[in-house]
Amino acid sequence: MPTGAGATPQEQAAQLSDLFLKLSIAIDQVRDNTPALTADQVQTLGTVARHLDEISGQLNAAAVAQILQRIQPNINQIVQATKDAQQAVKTIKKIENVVAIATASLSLATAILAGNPQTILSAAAGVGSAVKTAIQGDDDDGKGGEPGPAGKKKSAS
Amino acid sequence: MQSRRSIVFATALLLLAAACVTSDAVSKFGSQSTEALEQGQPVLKDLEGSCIRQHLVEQTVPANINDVFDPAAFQKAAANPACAAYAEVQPGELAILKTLTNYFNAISQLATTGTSTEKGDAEAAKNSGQAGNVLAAVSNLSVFLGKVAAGGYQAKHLTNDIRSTDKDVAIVIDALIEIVQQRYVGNQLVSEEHEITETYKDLLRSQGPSPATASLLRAQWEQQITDIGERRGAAEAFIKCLQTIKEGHHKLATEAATIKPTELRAVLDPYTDSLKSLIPSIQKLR
Repeated sequence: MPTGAGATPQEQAAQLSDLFLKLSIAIDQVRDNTPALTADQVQTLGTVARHLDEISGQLNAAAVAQILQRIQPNINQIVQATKDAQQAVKTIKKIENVVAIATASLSLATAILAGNPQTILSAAAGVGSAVKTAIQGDDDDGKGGEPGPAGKKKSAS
Repeated sequence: MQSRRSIVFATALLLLAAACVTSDAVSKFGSQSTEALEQGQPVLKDLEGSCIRQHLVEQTVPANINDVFDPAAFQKAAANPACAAYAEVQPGELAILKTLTNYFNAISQLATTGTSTEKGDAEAAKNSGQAGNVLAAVSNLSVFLGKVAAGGYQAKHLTNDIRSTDKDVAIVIDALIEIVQQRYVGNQLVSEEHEITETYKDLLRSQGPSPATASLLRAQWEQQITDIGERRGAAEAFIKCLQTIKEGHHKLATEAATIKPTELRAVLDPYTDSLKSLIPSIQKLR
């Protein structure tokens, strides 16, 4: 199936749906496998994962192809931001940063359904910024930080 | 003289038999394809069904016992935006399937009786959310069916018409495969399976798992995961049917005009037999 800017809006919707579903599963796996999460963190990650799953369902139904037609210029940026978020959630050690990436990703998914290109661009930048901060935070933490969920068995790809 | 008449008569009989074989092989392939496609309705409907089951499980269990078994819970789950989105495109997707089903039924009828009153539903298909090329292909099949149903169709044109519609048949089948393979098996059923598992984990986390509760939830979970596995199996059998129908139609389109009528049976029967063996696996979804 073609993906990105060369694909039809229906194919793009299916691709984004797939990416958001995988991100949702990855967030749940962090929630399941990270010891000593606070109750707030468990709740936040669970809520974000569930909302991402719901938005994935809406994109999967292909009823939103018209919205995707409006946001064509941003599609590659959205796909890349979502892929980066998914990869980061699977590898980032600091749970606060995972929460930040998850929350930013939900803002992006919500913005896609709203279909406003400006809001989408801003939300995609927000995901990029959260991922960047998380990677920097992990690099600093690597000099003596607490081990997080990274390295645990993950089945989502 | 007597012997020459016998030879002419025998030859005429053989030619007649060959023509019947042709009609018979095409008719059987058409009717078996029709039957296989009819099994696809529950598969397409279960995109919404799976979503509703998923969101039903996700609902918070009410504190009041009388509210636990509230039938309105189904409506609430169905109103979830994702389930509502599946419901929105479902009539259109079913119209695409119906048009393809009617097309193959018409082929079967034309090969047998030379007439058919089957119709397409290109108008309803517009609500499927599918791309323009898919809607155009459904429209072309509907136009063909309309031409046949209008009467006066000459069966001698069937070979040429099957060749003309082959591309449209392939586009429509590819769209249906994409819906079932990517959106249903690859996405919605994965989502349902994951959410059911996470919901049960959350229940155990929040309640503090007594062995009895954990055991009951595990039994319930196993049943639901088994059901999902069966649905996945039925959907995969339907995908194989769609691929078989597409290949069989293409063979018919490309070879019907060039091979001997007796050879057509050898070309089409493997597809017909394959469809016959796959249908029971799809029926498990009912």
